[in-house]
Amino acid sequence: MFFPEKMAKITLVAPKTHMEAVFTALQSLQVLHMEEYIPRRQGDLPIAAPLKDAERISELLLSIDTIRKQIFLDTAPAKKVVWNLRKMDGFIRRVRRDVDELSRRVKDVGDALKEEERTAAELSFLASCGIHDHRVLGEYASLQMRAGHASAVPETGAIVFAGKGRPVPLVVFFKKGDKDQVERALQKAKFAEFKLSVPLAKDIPAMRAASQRRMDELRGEKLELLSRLEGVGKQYGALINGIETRLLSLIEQSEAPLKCAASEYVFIVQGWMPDRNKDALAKRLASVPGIYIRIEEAREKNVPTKIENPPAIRPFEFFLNLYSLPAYGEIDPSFLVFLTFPLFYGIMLGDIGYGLVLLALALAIRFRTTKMRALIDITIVSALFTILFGFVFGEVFGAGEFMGVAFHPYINRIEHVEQIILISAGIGLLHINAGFLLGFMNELKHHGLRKALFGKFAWIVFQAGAILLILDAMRIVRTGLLPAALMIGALLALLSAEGLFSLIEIPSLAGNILSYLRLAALGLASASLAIVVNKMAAGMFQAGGAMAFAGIIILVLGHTVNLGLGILGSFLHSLRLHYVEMFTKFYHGSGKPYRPFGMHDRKLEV
Amino acid sequence: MVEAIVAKSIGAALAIGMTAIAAALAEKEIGAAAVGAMAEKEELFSKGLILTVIPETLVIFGLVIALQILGQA
Repeated sequence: MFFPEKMAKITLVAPKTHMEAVFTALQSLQVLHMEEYIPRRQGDLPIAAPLKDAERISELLLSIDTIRKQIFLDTAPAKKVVWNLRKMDGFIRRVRRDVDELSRRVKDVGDALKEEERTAAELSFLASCGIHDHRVLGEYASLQMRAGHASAVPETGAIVFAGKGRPVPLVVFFKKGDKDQVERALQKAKFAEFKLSVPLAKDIPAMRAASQRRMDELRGEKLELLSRLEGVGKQYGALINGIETRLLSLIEQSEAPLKCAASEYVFIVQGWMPDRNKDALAKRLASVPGIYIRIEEAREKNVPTKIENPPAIRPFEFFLNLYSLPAYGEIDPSFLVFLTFPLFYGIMLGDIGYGLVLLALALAIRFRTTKMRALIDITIVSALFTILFGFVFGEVFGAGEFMGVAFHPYINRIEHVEQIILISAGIGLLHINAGFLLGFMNELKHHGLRKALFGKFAWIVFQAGAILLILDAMRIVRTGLLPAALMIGALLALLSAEGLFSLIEIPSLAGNILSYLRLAALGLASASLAIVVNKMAAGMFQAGGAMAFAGIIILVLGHTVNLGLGILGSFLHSLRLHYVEMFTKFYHGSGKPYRPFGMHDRKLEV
Repeated sequence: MVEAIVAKSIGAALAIGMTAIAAALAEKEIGAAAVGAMAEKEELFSKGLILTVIPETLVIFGLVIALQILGQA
């Protein structure tokens, strides 16, 4: 809980003839995080060759991906598949062929449908102009034709077939000699041309009917093809998902040798695993003839980090995944974030009504879906703290009483601003120094007592000195030269441990503590907004009649907006206080995630 | 002559308002760059977040001054 799980370093050497057996065993154990072997210098051993089927399996996985793009397979749970590779290959090939064929035909029908729709549009245009005999549009010796839409029927003296509607559809026939006059008239009427391209062979109404029939046919065919695709998905979906799962585990095994070194007769695997699994691994691999296993303490720089927390704290690992995993061997701050994040959240939102709404929303989402489970759990805890602080501040939807029940605040957010500000600064002081303490423990473990004392604890001493100085200036206590001594001593220690740049951190420390005033600021803003909404609605209710209805709308809308801002703002700022103000005091981060062999990393989804 | 309360109010409003605008202008640029960087590389989220919220302290200072002006804290 306080540290990532302890790891042991494993080195395996085994004869190449037993490669598959070793990897099968490792895959079923699911504990070894293999380190990738990269030959750097001349004379280093080469990388081992992948097992024979790797390429074929990759191709099959690609095929399945292509199938997935065309039919919907996600809802089918994967069936357990024990076929061999050849059978899976044949099956996927067949399915792929069918799906590709169906998709192609869908596209062809779609294109034909588009063509037909264009024809229908042209025919309907002609019909709307009143042209029903196709011979009207034939080739004329002395007449030219234009067809299109205009804002009004132009005065040209030419033969015009016009329809109803805006813009007016029309077909104009004119003598070649009148061309300029007609074009001018058309331009004045804002003529937009409609190109006719369909060859007319029969009467227009007959052609329209035929076209409509063809479109219906094509649409029907398209629907039938789509439903056939869907049918394939339903029928084979589970099987395909199962094959994919099996292929993923096979490919992991087939490509595993790429992470190993190999000589003529043996191959070498190196990696890390949790310390407590080492006996299980040794026992499992003891049966491989000629295998050599070395287990030692993990001491390198790039040991993977496996965070380990009790179930109550586990949702808060979400914040570490978002930011950066702890480096191996440093303190895992989840247990602290678990306490302080909801605390800050509650202080900033602090309203019984809002807390209850938030809780209801979070619980509703929790029972509907398993996605974002960590975030929902964090929200539930935060909502509980919000309700708690709602009681402390005596606020229900901004007001002091609700449905006749009065809530007496222990501290009123708006009247006692100075107190809240002081409390926020105090919380800031505590939080930051908790960060320094964690930093002290980290340094103690890695760099010894002197670095820890002079590098981290000195900050705490410095702050103590500063506080005593302030108290002395305010004449609350008599301390003489003690504060100055403390501060100067702490500064000297810091200089010796961290160098000159540590002095720059002093003003930033003041800024960091002040940053915690946002706990007061956000609370004040949220409470004030709620009170304003309530006052406005109360005024409208008193006016009565239609205003009362408007008052209800203002109430609901105002509180919804305030709730939304409060939820988002509190989450963000509480998180920011942890990341920026506290973590920078001790956290190194950039831990490598623990990815054990056997857990199908390739398509690992969060 | 302007009444004291009017001057105080305007002063406090300016204090918080202008610092907020300043912080917003700063974070606008930084935030845009941070999101662009994250689109290329997800791991930069934490650094991007920290850099984006650095100008927040301006607003805190503005708030403190505003409250001081208004005669509280």
